[in-house]
This record gives sequence, structure tokens and C-alpha cells, in this order.
Amino acid sequence: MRAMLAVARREFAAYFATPVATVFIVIFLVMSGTLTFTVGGFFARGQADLLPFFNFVPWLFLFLVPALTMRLWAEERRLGTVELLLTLPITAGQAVVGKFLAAWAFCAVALALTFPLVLTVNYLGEPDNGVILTGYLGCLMVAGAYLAVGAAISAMTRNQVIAFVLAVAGCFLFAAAGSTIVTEFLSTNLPWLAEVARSLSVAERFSGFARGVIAARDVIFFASFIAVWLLLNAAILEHRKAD
Amino acid sequence: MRRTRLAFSTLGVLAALLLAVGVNLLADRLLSSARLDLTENRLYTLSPGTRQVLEGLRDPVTLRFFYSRRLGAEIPQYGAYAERVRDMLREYVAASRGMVRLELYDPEPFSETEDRAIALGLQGVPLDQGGEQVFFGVAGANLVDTERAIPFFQPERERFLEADLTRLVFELSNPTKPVLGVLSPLPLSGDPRAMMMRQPQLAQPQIVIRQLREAYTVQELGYDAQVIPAEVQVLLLAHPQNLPEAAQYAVDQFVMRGGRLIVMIDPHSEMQATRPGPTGQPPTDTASRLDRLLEAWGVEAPADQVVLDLRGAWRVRAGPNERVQAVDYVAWFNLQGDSLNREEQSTALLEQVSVASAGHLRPRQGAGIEFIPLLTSSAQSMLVDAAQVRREPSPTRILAEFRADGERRVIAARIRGNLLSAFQDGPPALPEGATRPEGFPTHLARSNGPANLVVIHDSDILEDRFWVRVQEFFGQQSIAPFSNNGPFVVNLADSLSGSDAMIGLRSRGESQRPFEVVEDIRRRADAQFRQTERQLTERLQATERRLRELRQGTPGEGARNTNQVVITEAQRAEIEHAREEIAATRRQLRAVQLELRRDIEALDRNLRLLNIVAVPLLLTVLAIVLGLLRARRRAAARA
Repeated sequence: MRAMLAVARREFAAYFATPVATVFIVIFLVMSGTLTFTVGGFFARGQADLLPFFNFVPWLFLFLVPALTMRLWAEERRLGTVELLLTLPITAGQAVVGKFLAAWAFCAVALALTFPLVLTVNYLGEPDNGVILTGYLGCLMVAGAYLAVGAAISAMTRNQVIAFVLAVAGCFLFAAAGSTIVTEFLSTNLPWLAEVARSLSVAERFSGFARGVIAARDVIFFASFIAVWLLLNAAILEHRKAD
Repeated sequence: MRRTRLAFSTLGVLAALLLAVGVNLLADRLLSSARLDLTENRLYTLSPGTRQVLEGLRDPVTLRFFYSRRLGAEIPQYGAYAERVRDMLREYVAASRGMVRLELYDPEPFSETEDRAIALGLQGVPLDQGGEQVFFGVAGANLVDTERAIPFFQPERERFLEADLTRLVFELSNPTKPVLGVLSPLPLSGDPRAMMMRQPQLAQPQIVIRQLREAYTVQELGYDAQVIPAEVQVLLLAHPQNLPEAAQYAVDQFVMRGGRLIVMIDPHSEMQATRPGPTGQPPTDTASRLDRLLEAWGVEAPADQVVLDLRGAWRVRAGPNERVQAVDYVAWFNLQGDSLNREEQSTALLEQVSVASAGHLRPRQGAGIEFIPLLTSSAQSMLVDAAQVRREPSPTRILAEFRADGERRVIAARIRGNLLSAFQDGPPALPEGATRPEGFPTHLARSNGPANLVVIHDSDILEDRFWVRVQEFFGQQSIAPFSNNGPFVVNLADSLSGSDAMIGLRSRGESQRPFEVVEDIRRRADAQFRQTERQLTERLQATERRLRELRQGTPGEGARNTNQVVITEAQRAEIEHAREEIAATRRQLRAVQLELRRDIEALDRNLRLLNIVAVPLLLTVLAIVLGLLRARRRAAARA
């Protein structure tokens, strides 16, 4: 546990050692704000909630989270530091979870910096702050799911660009699985798969959070989803270590 | 070695994957209703009342939800609401332990599903000129094919979504029409003496009774009733004038046994006053009271006072001794706005209820009852001696003496609680020669669980002329209500006849949350604009009038000038001036209109800046400063 937290702390500090983190957060904030106000019509809607914001966050994360995870293992492998890391008295699993937690905390910081939106709706009207809270929790869950996918993919390759592209594609699969286009197509061609696709959809699971409800099955979904991908990540590392 | 490791880790990941799938499948099955509802009004949690109804289902109920996805695509507000309805229906399924079945349909235009939706009583709404209809409703059926439907879900009724759905399920599980008993000396179902009085229209039942008959089996009870029949679920006791003790006891015991009561007493029944008494003369006593029962139940209803209310007072023709004129008759008034309890299902959606010489109610001190006002007078009200409105009331005099005291009076209230019988010594002695009917129920000294009743201190709510205009039109009766008295009474009966669970259903908060700040700005700007607009329009009209006069030549300058073609230089200058003024005024009006939106646009712009630019800018500056500091430290270390 302590070793895992040490890795997490070191990784988290490393994010802020270079301007990359700031650039990442700035892009996220500008994009989410712009989308919320322009495409989401936040002001024109006249409703005191953050629905336009929450509608975009999972899709923004689709690009930003892989950008965050692409160097997670690929970089270490390219530089050869992964061997060093794994010779330290920690297991691959601890290293995987530590790095994941650091990236997750980083996403939480990025989300927390959207606080002016919360202030804005509270100034404009009387929003349901419980719904806003669960919405943020849901965003964090989605970020965690994408991070786990991205990290596992990053461990497969030495090339950051390949890691990024594959992670975007992987996350997109889980984001779009529940969309009407996919389910409609599947329900006419492969009806049994339509249900599976819907139940695997990250966006569908997120929608409950965005409405203000934390359902046990959604939490279990995210937890098991993250766990499976982290396990895969550790397995890949173990396997590569033997290379 | 490597192979075995690879095989092991592959197997490990596969096992974990299977485990995860299994856990999720189990969670979907077993934990579908385990959830934390953090919405302010617990929007996604079923109320205990609904759970009670669902758990009490003995036969399966099938709900068919028809929703055209096109509707949501075109009007997103409906899309969000449909999602909410579907979620709630799923909650019903989960809470009913398999007794409620849900089927979902998306009726394509001109399809069989569409025909089916129409056959089940759903309402198709055209989205465009093409004749394509969209559906958004639910139809329910039980094993014996009783059908009930909510033809179209209106987002405005969102507060009552759960109540509506639960009622639907409740009615399907209890399909027989409930019995509503009526006990009243008033000719509510038509006056048998109508022909004798040469007023055939009086033979017709009151519209309220006709509306009640649509949902209930209405059973008239004799004024000498000793027992209220067991099948009666709701009893309407209207104007119980000199109600015999035996009948009072019957009503008391009906309530003690859990019967639902709507009692209407009246300090002055206008309905009775306008109809001749048994002697053919106008009746002298028009008041009714039920003091013994109401006092025992914890309600005070002074029969000698009438509420006057200036807000919503009817304009009547005063006369005949005075000069005929329209006067506000403060004893007859409409209850609107905050006079109707918006939290109660029976009154929340009504626009107005009209009362005539109504009395007031209050809970007795120390009575352990829930006293929920349904109708309340405005603060511009006062009390007056009932005698003043009973005998030849003079609207002008009553108005002249009217002094509002700022107090609000309760005219109707719902009462709930454990009540004590008004007959603590058992049933009253029988008059000589009378016998007790068979199966006379055993005496109850207190209510069986919490009793539910509604007390209204006005019986004229029931009379047609106080809420509806009825006209004969080529043999057809056309009914044009101007108040909601009918719906009010039917709502009361509805909310009372449902199970206790139905009444306990609390109303839910709307999920519409407007930007109040923006609305405020808009309202203020609008008011300001109207004001300026009026001033400017007046100025514009004056200038235009002057210009017209100048063109035509102003009279008074002598006959020579009336048809003048040549105008003087001074006049030309004045015309020019007037024209300029008109143009300037128009410009100003446009500017004001523009300004109306300027504040809102400025707010929009500032909020955009705050949300899109402020934090990123701060972060960037911080990063640069930190970077510079770091570089300097590094340089210092090197040196």
C-alpha cells in the first residue's frame, strides 16, 4: 500500500514538473467551457443545471485521457526506465495502481478547476447541487475507465503516438457502445449483442450520475471495468518483463 | 518457462474478466433498485405510498409505454421527460416484484403499433403538416382486460407523474367503480318540484353530481339513515341542516370505521335561499351546522360569521331599491392564486374556485389533528355577521362597511388524524317505535387508524350558477365553466377514495429551474421598456398630430388659410422640426428595445469570460511564474 502511494505521489508530482500538465488542463478548461456555452447553449437554455457541461465531458475525455496515458508506460519502456522501476522493491501491480491513481488524481484536479461553472449556476438560479455533485462523480468514473484502458494500451507499445491512437479507439468503443446508432444497428442485425453493447457503454452508465442517481450497479460496473483493465495492464508488464 | 507464464497471466486475465461479467450480471439482477438518489426532491425514489400500492398488487398489471423517439428528437424537453417517465416505470417494475410488466413501443407513423396505441386510448399529436403523429403515453391493462391510459404525458404535470402512474396501477388493481354516497337536503340530483314550479331546468342534476357519476356509483342516502352502507367509500354530506341525531351518529361511525367524508356546512346556503321551502315561502333558516361532530374531531366552524373578500369579489347588479349599478359583492368571491393550496393534489392545478357567503374554519386548540388548508381567503378579507347576508343583503352597504383586517381565513381544509367519536356513550336512544336495522355495526369510540375528511364551510360550491354557464343550444346542453368548482369536488373525492397510500403520495418538485437572475433582468427591462415606450409613443403621436395639422393648415388663422397651398417659411421649419422629432423618437424607441437585451448579453459575455478564460489564464500565468522561478533557482545553483 505504502509503495503504491509512493509511486502515485512521485508520478503526480512529475505531472507538474513540466508545463505539459498546465497545457493539458488549460486545453480541457477552454474546450469544456467553450462547448458548454456555444454548442451546449448553456446560457440560452436558461436552466440552472450543468447538463450541457456533463454532456460534453465524456467526449472530451475521449481525447484528453489518452493524451495523458500515452506516455504512462510507453515512455518508460522507450527510455528503459521500466526495468529500473520494476527492480525496485514493488510489484508490477503496485506500480500499475500507483500510476493509475496519480493520473486519476490529475483528472480530478482538472475537473475541480471547472468550479467557476458551479459558481455560475448557483449565481444564476437555484440548481440542484446534489445532481451537480453526482455529475462530477460520474465524470470521475468515466475518466477512471478511460485511464485504465489507456494505461493498459500504453503498456503494449513503445510508441506514444500508437498508444494514443489505440487508446482513443479503445475508449471510443466503450463510449459509443450505447449510442442509438450502434444499438439500432445491432438490434436489427445481432439482437443479443445490442443488450451486451448497451450494458458495456460508459456513456449509458454515466447518464445515471448526470441525473443525480448513484446506482449500485453502475458503481460496480466502473469498479470492475477499471479492475479488469488494470489487471490486464499488470499482466502485460509482467509478460514484457520476461522479454 | 516463458510460455507457462504467458499462459498463466492470460488465464488470470480471462478469469478476472469472467468474474467481472458475473458480478455485473448479478448486480443487474439483484441490485437494480439499490441506488442513492441525491436529487433535492428525491425525484427518482418512489414514495412509500406508491410502494404500498405496488406491494399490495394481487394480480399482474401490464403497462404499455408508447413513445415516439421522433418527438424527443424534435423537442428535446420531451426527450428528457420521456427518459424520466421510462425510468419511473422501470422503478415500478422493480418495486412490484414482478407484478407490473412493462412493454416499450416506438410507434412508427402509419404502422400497426400506431393503430394499437390509438385503440388503447392514447393520443396522437401531429408534429408537422405531413400528418405524422407522435405518441407519448402509457396504457395499462389487468388480467380481466380493464384498461386505463394516460393519453399523453404533459411535462407541466411532472409534479404529479408518480401520483398519476400510481393511480393508474391502483385503478387497474381495483377495477370496480367506487361508491360515493350523497346525504343532503338540497335537491342536488334535480328538484322533483321543478314542474310544479314551472322551472323544468331545475329537474336536472347539478353538473357536479353529473361529473361525479362519471367516476363513481353515486348512491343517494335517506336523511333518516341510521347506518351508512358498508359499500360507500366516500360520503358527501352537503348542508346537513337539522340532521337527525341518528344520522349524525351514522356519519360519525362511518368516519370512525375509516370511511372518507366530504362535509359541506354553510352559514347561508344561497341554493336553499333561492328555492321555496315546503310551505312555498322562501326559507327563513338557511344555515347548517355539524357542531357536535366537528368539535369532537377538533374543528371549529362558527356558523354565525361569513367571510368577505375583496380580492376576486364578484361584480353584481345592486338593487332593486337602489339605483342599479355594478358593485363588488364581497360575500361572493373567486379564490385564485395563493388562495388555493398548491401542495395538495386536489387544488394544485385549479385556476379558481368560487364560493358564496362562505364561513371559516380553524383547528381547535390542542386537537391533535393534521389541519391542511385547501381554500384560504386573501389578506383583504374580514368577517361579518351572517345575518347581514342572510336577509336581503345590500352589496353597496356591505362594501361600504368593508374593512380588510389583513388576516386570511381558511374556507376548506383537509383533516387527518386519529379522531374520537362524538358519541362517547354509544349510539343515541331511538325515537319511539323505531327499530335498529339489521347488522347495525358495533360502536367505535375512536377512529380505526387515521381518519381522512375534508371540511368545506360553503355548500354553494355545488351549485351550477356559481361556477358554470349552462345553455340550451338546439336541444343540446352546452356547459361553459368559469370556475373549477366541479373539478375541485371530483378531485377531493378522487384523492379520498384512493387508498391511504394514494393520499399520502406527496407532490414532487418540478425539475425546471430557470435562471432567476436573467428572468429578473428581463422583467425589469421589460417594465422599463413598456414605460419608456408609452412616453415615447405619446410624444410620437403628439408630433404626428401637429404635423397633420400643419399640413392641413391650422384652423383659426382665418378662412383664407383653410385651403392654403403655400405655406410660410416658419411653418415649413416647424414641419421639418416635427419630422426630425419623429425620426428621433423612433430611433430612441429602437435604442430602448436594444438596451433591453444589452444587460442580458453583457451577463452572458461576462460569464463566458469567467468560465472559458479566467481560470486558464490564471493557470498559465502561474505556470510561467513557477517556470521562471525554477529556471532562476537552477541558474543560481549552477553559479
